[in-house]
Amino acid sequence: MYKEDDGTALLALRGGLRGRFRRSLDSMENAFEALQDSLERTTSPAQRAELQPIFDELRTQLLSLRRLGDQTSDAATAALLRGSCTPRPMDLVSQLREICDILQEEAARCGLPFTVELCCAGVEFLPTMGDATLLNGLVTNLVSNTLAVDGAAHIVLHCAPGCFVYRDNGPGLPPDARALLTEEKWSERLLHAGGLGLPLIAAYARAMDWALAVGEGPGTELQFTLPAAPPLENLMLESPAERMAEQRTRRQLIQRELALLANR
Amino acid sequence: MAVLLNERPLHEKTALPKTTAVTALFAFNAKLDRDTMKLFAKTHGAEVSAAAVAATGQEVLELLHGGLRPRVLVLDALLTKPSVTSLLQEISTMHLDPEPAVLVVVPVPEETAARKALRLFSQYQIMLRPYGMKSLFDEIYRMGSTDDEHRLYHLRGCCDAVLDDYGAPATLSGYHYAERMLLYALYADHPQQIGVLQQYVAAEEGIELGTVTSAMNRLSQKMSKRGMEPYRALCRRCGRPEDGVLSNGQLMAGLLQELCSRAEPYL
Repeated sequence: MYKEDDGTALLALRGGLRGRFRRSLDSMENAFEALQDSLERTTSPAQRAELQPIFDELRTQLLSLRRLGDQTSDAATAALLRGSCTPRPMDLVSQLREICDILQEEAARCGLPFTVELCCAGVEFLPTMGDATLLNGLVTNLVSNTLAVDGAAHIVLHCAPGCFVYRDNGPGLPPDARALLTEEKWSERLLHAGGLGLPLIAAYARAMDWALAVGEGPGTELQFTLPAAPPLENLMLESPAERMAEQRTRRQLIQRELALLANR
Repeated sequence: MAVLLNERPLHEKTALPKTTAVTALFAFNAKLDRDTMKLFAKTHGAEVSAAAVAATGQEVLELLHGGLRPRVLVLDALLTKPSVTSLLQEISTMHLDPEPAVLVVVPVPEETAARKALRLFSQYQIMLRPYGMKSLFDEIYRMGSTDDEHRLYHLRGCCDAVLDDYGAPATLSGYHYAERMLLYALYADHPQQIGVLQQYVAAEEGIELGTVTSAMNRLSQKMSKRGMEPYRALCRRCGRPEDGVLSNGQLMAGLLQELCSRAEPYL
């Protein structure tokens, strides 16, 4: 028998504002595939060759819209992120290891020259409170910002007890970017640029109760102080279906970010 | 595994498994999704036929009560009036015969509360969204077909992939004939002469043998003109100039060799 909680779970599947953007774009992508499939059976090779560049560009624009939809909806609901994605016990090292592996695989697939490395300094297990979805958003925005400046950057994800540090070998954060991250102050330059990555990085960290500080560098250096680890007996195991969904979402998000960078 | 170009002709006719399209009842909340399912099913109707496309849970129930018996139910997890969980509960009390397979299409859950929703569908097959339409229809076909039908479906996909890679235009009738000849060659217990394979296809299509032969000639000419590297490489292996035209026998031998290596898991 289905209980009342089931109704709440089904409602949660809608995914709020972000879910509305995603559903619309999912439907558009499927319609797009069906249209292309239909055209392949009804047009000549010459006609298809003429249409192909437009199809390719439409796909890139859809990817771009997905990213913008995620960012815009998260920015609009930043204050609610803390309630909607309840931080739960996680091992940060295994999460970051998975992210690193996917980044390396997808970078090779896209032909992007950047490198990413996980440094644990002997820490094999780093329990803390967090959320996979927020962590995905945090890391992909950080990586995206780095690669926007230097596509061949070297990125290091450094873990130590109670601490996670993101570093790259780029030119470092401009002063107004630093101010936006730490003081929520917008410069004219950043307002006109229309980017949401920096405030979202801060919002995701806040929602997980991770304190954010900007290091001196060289390069970009963001230091996250992690909340205290819960007792191990409170760790809840995910079901296989949940783990599969989480891995899949993570990979698709990273694929999207890198595809957009590769297509610039 | 059959290999072409044997000297001795055979007397028993090779037969391919009979296949029927898998009938599916689709139910999606969004109109664009419903229209997309209809369009894709139109071009892929030989494998998956859309028995109906419903907009609400109530419509699904009315169709089933009215006697519709799809092999697969494809349900949007966000369906309303009633919700998909109420719909599934109601369907389970109907004791449908034959009982359809159920595929629930679920948006990837991101929020903590949404992750729990996956457990609601633990007794059903689920497909996470976003998905590709081809993947969705492949899964529907897999769920609604027998093992033999499914094997043929995959082998046909392999045939088409090889033909496409060699530059065969899918709009030519020779493409379809080549696909059928390759399948007959794969299913044969013994190696078959090309003439025999052409006879199978001519009998299947109800046309003259010469029509099949001419269509295959035209196919090879078009492939030569397209000049895809696999075709050119095959020309070289057959001792022809790279921009030459392969005979029907040379073409089929080369295609079959390539197909056998790709289709190994299904043979």
